[in-house]
Formats: sequence, structure tokens, C-alpha cells
Amino acid sequence: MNPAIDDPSEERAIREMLRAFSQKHLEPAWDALDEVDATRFAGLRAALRETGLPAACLPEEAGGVPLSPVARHAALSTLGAAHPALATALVSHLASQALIVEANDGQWPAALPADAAFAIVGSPLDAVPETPFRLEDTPDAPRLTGSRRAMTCHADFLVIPAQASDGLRLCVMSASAEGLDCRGTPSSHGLALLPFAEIGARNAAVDDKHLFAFPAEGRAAHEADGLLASLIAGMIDEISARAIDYARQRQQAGRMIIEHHAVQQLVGPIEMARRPLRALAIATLAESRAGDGTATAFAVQIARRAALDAIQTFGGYGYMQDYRVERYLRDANTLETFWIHAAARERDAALRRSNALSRGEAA
Amino acid sequence: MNAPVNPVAGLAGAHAASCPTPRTRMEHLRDFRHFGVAPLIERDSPALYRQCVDVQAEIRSFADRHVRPHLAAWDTQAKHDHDFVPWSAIEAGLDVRLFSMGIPALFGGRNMSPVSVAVACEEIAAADAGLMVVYGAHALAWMLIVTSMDLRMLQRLGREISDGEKNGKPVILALAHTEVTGGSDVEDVEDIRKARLTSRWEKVPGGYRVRAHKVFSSNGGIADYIVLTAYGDYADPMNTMRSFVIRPGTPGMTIGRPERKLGQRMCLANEITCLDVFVPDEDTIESGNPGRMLDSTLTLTRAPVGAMAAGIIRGVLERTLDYLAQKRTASGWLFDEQWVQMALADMIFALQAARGLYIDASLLSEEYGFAQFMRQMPARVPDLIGRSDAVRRVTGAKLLNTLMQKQYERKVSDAQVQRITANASIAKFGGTDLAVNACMKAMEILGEDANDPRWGVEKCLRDAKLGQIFEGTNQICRLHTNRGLLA
Repeated sequence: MNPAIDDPSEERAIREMLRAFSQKHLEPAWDALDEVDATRFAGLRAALRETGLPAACLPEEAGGVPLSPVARHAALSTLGAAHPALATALVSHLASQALIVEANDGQWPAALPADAAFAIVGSPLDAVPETPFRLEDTPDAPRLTGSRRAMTCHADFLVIPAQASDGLRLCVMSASAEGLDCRGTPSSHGLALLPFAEIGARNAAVDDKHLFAFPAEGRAAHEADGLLASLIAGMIDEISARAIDYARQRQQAGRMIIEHHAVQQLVGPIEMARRPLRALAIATLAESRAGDGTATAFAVQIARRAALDAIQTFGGYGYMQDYRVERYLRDANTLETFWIHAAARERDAALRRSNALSRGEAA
Repeated sequence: MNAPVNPVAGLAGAHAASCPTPRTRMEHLRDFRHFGVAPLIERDSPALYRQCVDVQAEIRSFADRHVRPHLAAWDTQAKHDHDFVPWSAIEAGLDVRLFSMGIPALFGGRNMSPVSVAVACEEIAAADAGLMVVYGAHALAWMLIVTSMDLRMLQRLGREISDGEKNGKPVILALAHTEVTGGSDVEDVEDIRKARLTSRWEKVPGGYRVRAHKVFSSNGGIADYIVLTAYGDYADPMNTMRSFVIRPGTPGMTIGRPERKLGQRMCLANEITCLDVFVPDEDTIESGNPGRMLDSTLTLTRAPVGAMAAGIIRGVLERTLDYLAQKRTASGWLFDEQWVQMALADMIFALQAARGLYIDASLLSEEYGFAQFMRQMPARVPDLIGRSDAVRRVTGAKLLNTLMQKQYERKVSDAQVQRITANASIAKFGGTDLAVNACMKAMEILGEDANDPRWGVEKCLRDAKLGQIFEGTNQICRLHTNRGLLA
């Protein structure tokens, strides 16, 4: 028995709560939740706050609601199944919280409002981010310069890793801070509910109390890996359920299409991936170690393939927005290219840098 | 594409010298002259070679001026405005005469061969696959008439389409064949017997009464004529299939709202319903052998879908190289990263493989298929003769129609038709599978910029996915491959 994955009642309760949330807030507006809409998003965020989930990575003394790995998996996979973009915004928020807490010796900093919304600039999977932002000490305040495309998630605060002369820093900036520019080019692919913008900082002053040494342990990145893998596992649950449902209704050449080997080859692997991915995500959430993004990287490849194959199962209908599976393909692709592949790329670069450094030292 | 970007400009001299500009130009992968098979075609068939080179150049010039500059804006607009049609491009494209590319010269058309049609499809799709499908769906409907060999209808519609191009008024066809409950099975002469059909005709004095419910009719919302298939007896659909040429607006016909599609938004796809639509005899397509007509149509239409896939791969490669020409990382050009090199090589492989498959299938069709039979028709016909009463009388004779069908059956055996269909199916499923994979790789290269509409890369993936579905899903295409090539 694995205590980390042995609390089905907690899992069930969270799933039921989030399914009710989805029925009430997501289902009626599903079509509209495919483009940037700050008002609608604010409503969703307020409703989600009532579930307690946005406080999941806060310490208890700051009002946090600590959840077991199974519960965290249940939450993210259920929300990931219902609406991947909203779940992604939640991961960005939770990963930011985890990063700040890790950077602040396990405490929530008094200078930051615990109930604010946070979003990370860069990939939350990055334990050692390669950041284009530079932090310079000036007589009045540290100042931030740099730019990168990021999901801002309508957050109150942006969590920006930055390179200072003596190492990596974590800057928590108000999204409306002076000197911080967010020029938006909305996504034409997935996660289209979320605003994407070129975050540009030009000598933006950073409040000393909002500045931390970037945590070396990488535990927050690992937490993000588990949360994101859970989100993706949820997407695959939904994709599988929809594809199999459809394959049991649709007839071709006088048989249900699920009876055709050509279709079984599409839906079978999606269904087969579900249990291993759940186990992988929960195991990742149960561990505490430096993040390497491998659970997510593994899961998202399956999700992209699953979404393509689910569309194929639906045939022409899958290509139409009405049957929803196409949005899961776009969302999986955007997750992959925006956070996961980008993180892997940066991890590789960091690895090369560190190898080069160690070779330099040896010489 | 391949905009002249000089990313080295602005770098310090010594640094610039150590970082040569990425090798992002790809003329050898774009021009027909450089295709492996081009010198052989030039040697054996100079006219065909010329046609391919010319049509590619014409389309490239048209797309550079009238399509590429607007694509990102059009795609964004069409996401919300589902009725959006790129009329400015369609009208500007009339000069290239793409609506008459498969129409014989006898009927005033551009009279292109399967190979040059496919090269044209690659070239348009490299700019925009949705626009290619505007022409492709039109050609698909036309091909159904061509393979029925109803010369009277060919003369009538062929003239109208060709004249429309000359007069600046596009005359567009759409095919309504896919049923609400029938997809790939209605494209298969055996599976159709077991398909759930929802389109029926009934003979009435002076014509037919048609009840039909069709979906995903590409061009349905903009067509001047809908070529609609229906069945006289669901128990024997193949032998009782008839095609009807119906004008939108005919009493009883309803064109539904355009579908909200993942991609290919430049081409509308509509649901079409016919509630007791009366179609006069003269608007009915005569075909002695509907099964053969359907199969012969597939010999001509699947390879162009493979060409579309090659075009998408080329388009996404061009756009990725444009991106790489300006993208630097902390350690140098992104282009120089080994993983990018691996991905680019896979994309180039995909392009060459998809192109090889569609050229091969088109050449087979050219040499042994319907096109070979159609070469009996004169390649050039003076307008005066084409429009003469004599030609009109001859093409109106039913006897000639029957004779031609018989002659086609003698010249091109059923086995030949199946073999060509198989090769066309390989070009279609192979090309479109490669296209989807190439687009996924391109998105990985762009990383955080992949969902930025300005690069146009993610749109290629959205466009590519439909290729795996329409014109017979890639699953049914695989089955057709075995049926045609294994004895």
C-alpha cells in the first residue's frame, strides 16, 4: 500500500467539488472561454477562490490549505479535464506561490498579500532558469531590465527570475508597476483564454521586500512538474472519454467505429496511457526533490498524440469546435511549446553551461 | 517568404564574423526546376515541364502579392467571423485560372495535367492550405462530372467557369457528398453498401425530387453550383447513385451556417439540406457506372491532397527559417543548436518524402489513368471552334457519352484504377501524416513564440490536421492502399 496514493475519499470529494464548479461556471460559457476576456476571467477566479485551491501552496499560517499529493492530483486533473487554460493559470499561480515560499525559507513574505493572484514569467518547470531579465543595483533601488513573451494570466503580481551580478534573483513585481510594459499578442493557438504578452522591463524599480535569492533546491519546479503532469493527465482523461463515447455512437460501414481496428488503434493507446500517467503525476507530487520537468515532458507528448488521434476518431466532426477535442490539441501544443519544451531547452543550456564551467575549473 | 532579414547587422564586428548568418534560404527546396524528377520530365515532356514551371511562378507571384501579406489578419478575423471569405484573393487569382485548371481546352479551360495540377496545389498550399481547398473542392466537384463523362454538362459548366475567369467573375463549384452519418464509408464502393445514408432521389416527370442531408461541403457557402449526390435505393447505393447540379437558392435547398473549424478558415464548409428539391433532367449528371466514377475521381483527387500536405510542410519550413534567421539565444543562433538541426532535417525529409509521393502518384495517373484517356482531347482548341454549334451538338449526344465510357473502361482497367487510387492514397496519408509531424516540430522550434500568430507556424498545424481527415480519412486510405497494390 502506498500511503501517498491511498485516500480515495479525499480524491472523490475534490473531484466532485470541481465537477460542480465546472458545471456551474465553465460548461455554460465553454465556447466563449476561448479568448482573452478579463471580466469573465475575474469571475472565474473569484469562483475558484471559494474552492480554496488557489491557497494550496501557501503555508498554513498564511491561510494555506495544504493538500495531499492525491488531492492535488485530483484537483489539477479534474480542472485540467474541464478547462486546461484555467487549470494552467492555476498552475502558474501555485508554482509562483511555491517558488516564493521556497525562496523565503518556507514562509510567506509579510510584504506580499497572500490572497493576490500570481503568474510566473518563464517556465515554472525551470529549476535553474535561463532568464533574459537582468537586475542591477542602483543607489535608490534594484532595477530590472529585459523582455520575454509570457502568459500573464490577469495576475496581480508577476514572478520574474532575473540574473544579478552575484546570482539569480526572484523579483515579484506588481503587474502595473512603473517601467513594466505588457504588450499583448493573444495566442492564435491554445490556452487562448489567457493573455499572452511581451513583458518588457526597462529599469523598472524592484521593491527590496519583493526580491529574493532564487531558491537553489528546485523544489518548487518539481511541484510544478507534478501539478502540470496532473493537469495533462486530466486532459487525457477527457480526451479519452470523449473519443470512446463518440466511437461507441458513430457507425461507419455498418459497424460502430469502435469495432474497427483502425479506430481501436487510435483510442486504445489514449485509454492505456491514463493509469500510468496518474501514477506518475501522483508519485511526482509525493516526492520532494529538485525539479527536472520530466513527468510533464513525458505526459505532454502523450497528450499531443492523444488529441490528434481523438480528432481523427471524430473525423470531420473532430475538426469542428463544437466537439471540443480540437481545443485540447491546441492547449496541449501551447503547453508543450510555451512551458515544457522551453524549459527543456533552458535546462539543456544550463547543463551545458555548468559542464563548461566545471571543465573550466578542472583546467 | 524568406524575408530578407540580416540578423547579423548590429553585432560587433568580431562577434559577427564568428557567427555567420544562418543558412536559411531554401531555393533548392522550392522551385520545380530543382525537383529530382524535373530533368526527366523536361526531357520526355517539355510541354508538361513548361506548364509546371510556369504555373508555379504564376501562383508564387499571385500568393506573394495577394495572399501572404494578409494571412494572419484573415485567419484571426475568420476565427470570429465564420462567414469570412478572402474574396480579394479569389478575384485576384482569376488571372492564374485555377478554377479551370482541370477543364479541357475544348471547354475553354486551362487544361492542366495531374502533375502540374499537383505542383500548383503545393504552391498555393505553401501560402495557405485553406485557399488551396477553395480550388481543390471546386476541382473535386468538377472531377466527379469529368469522370462521369457527361459531355453535355462538361461543356455547359466548363464554359461557364472558363468564361467567368476571363470576365472577372468566379464561378465556383462545391461537392456535397459526405452524409451526416456517413464519412469515409461513402467514398468506398464496398463500404457504401453498409453506410447509413440520408440522401435520396425519386424520379418524377421532367426530373428528380431530391431529399438530402449533407455535411462539410467545402465551398458550400460560396458556390454557384452544388454538385450533390443522392441514392435511388439505399439497399443498392452504388448502382443507384446519381449526381445533381443544383443552384443555391433553389426552392427546398438550405445552406447551413459555416462550420467553426480548427483551421483552413479561408474555405467555408457548410451543411446542406434538400427538402424535396426538384432537379430537372438537364441538371442531372449522366453516369453509366457510378462506382467507377467514384473510384476514378479518387485517382485524381487524393494526390493533390498529398501535394497540399507537401505545400504545408514547405510553408511551415519557410516560416520556421524566417524565424530562425532572426532568433538568437544566449549562446548564439538558435539555428545552430543541434536539436534544431535535427528537427529541420526531419522537416526537409518530410517535404521531400511528401513531394516524392505526390509526384509519383500524379505521374502514374498521368501515364496510366484517366488523364491518359483524356489526352485524346485536343490540348489547344480555338475559342471559335470550342463554342461552335457543331461541338455543342456533338457533346450533347448521349451516344458519345456512352461510347466514351466504354472506351475508358477498355483503355483503363479496373485494376489500373485501383492501383492508381492506391498510390494516390499513399501520397495522401503519407503526406498528411508527415505534414502534421513537421508542423509539430516547427512549433517546438519556435517555443514561446509558437502561438504568436505573426509567425504563422501554428496555423500550418491547424491547417495540416484536416488533410488527415478529408478525402477519405487516412485510415480508409491505408485500406485502399492494400486493396489496390496487393494481389
